Amino acid sequence: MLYSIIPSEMVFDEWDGKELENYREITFENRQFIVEPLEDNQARIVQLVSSDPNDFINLNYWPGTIIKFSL
Amino acid sequence: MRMREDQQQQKMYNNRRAPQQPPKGNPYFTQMPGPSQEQQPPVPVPPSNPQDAPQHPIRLRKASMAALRKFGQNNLPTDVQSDIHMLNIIGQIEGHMVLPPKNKTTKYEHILPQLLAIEENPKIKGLFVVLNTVGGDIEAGLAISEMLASMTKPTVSLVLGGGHSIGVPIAVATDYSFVAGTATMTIHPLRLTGMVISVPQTYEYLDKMQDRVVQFVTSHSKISEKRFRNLMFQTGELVRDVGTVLVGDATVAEGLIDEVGGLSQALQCLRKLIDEREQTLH
Repeated sequence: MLYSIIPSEMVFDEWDGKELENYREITFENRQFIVEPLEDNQARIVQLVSSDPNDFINLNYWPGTIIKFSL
Repeated sequence: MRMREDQQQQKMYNNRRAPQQPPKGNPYFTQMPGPSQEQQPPVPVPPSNPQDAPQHPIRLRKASMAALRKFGQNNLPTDVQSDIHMLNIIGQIEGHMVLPPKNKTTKYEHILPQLLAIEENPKIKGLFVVLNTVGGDIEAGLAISEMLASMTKPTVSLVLGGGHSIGVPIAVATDYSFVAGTATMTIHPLRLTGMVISVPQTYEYLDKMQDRVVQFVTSHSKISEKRFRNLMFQTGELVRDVGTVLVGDATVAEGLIDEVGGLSQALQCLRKLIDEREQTLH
């Protein structure tokens, strides 16, 4: 149940639930990332999920960076 | 575009200086008799032929970073752990339902484990919560608020931009709260609009949900229950709804937020709370 200043119909409008499949959550170098998977076990960082402010000035974790990970 | 970037990195990799040999005239470096120069472990030399170079993108990136640093690039303190951690609460607070991707969200399942880790990690001394939220899932918001309020480590919040609806209990849940002069907070009743998802949303149910928010806010701030409900149902403020928009110092005047301020004031306050806690612990 939403308690928000944005009306629910604006939050949910015209969504078929398909777009979510593009993003995945992975752990890379002990940090949690939301990434866009690419071919060859590579992924583009979309978002870093961390509470440590220093992680956000690490150039290797910037959004758009391509990382290689193993499943 | 991608190709050109890779070629540039390759070039930088090939152009970087060879690893330094130990200085010959160093008095502390004594030449041991016996093994000749050839038997010493080989020094890794970057391959001169671009085709032989490793194609690993991370290694390439690291190599190019190393090359860049030699030319005076800022060396960022990447392995230093900060003793103040920060939670950035933005967009919609997402709880039981995944919201469509066009919504920016802060996810409950990310925040709660982080809060636990911050509480448990001895290197982390305090938590700074930055809010710029339009509200969101009521139960997820209350869960985050309760977690924040029950933490033993000092917590300070700063409302930037907006801290609306369910953002209000989160903002007041910390030990001390700040609001930017231009930030707004909207206080309005829960309502039945648009899509209603599999909950028995009778009037009574809505009322109970609303009471939970009112109870939390009034018990964690200086505003009275009566005044908060008045603000919630005020007419004439919002165009198509009842409620109140409080800007900056109005939130302080109403007793909701403790102080108007920004980053430096909030961090100073957090440092003070951390020092006080350290003194009581030792």
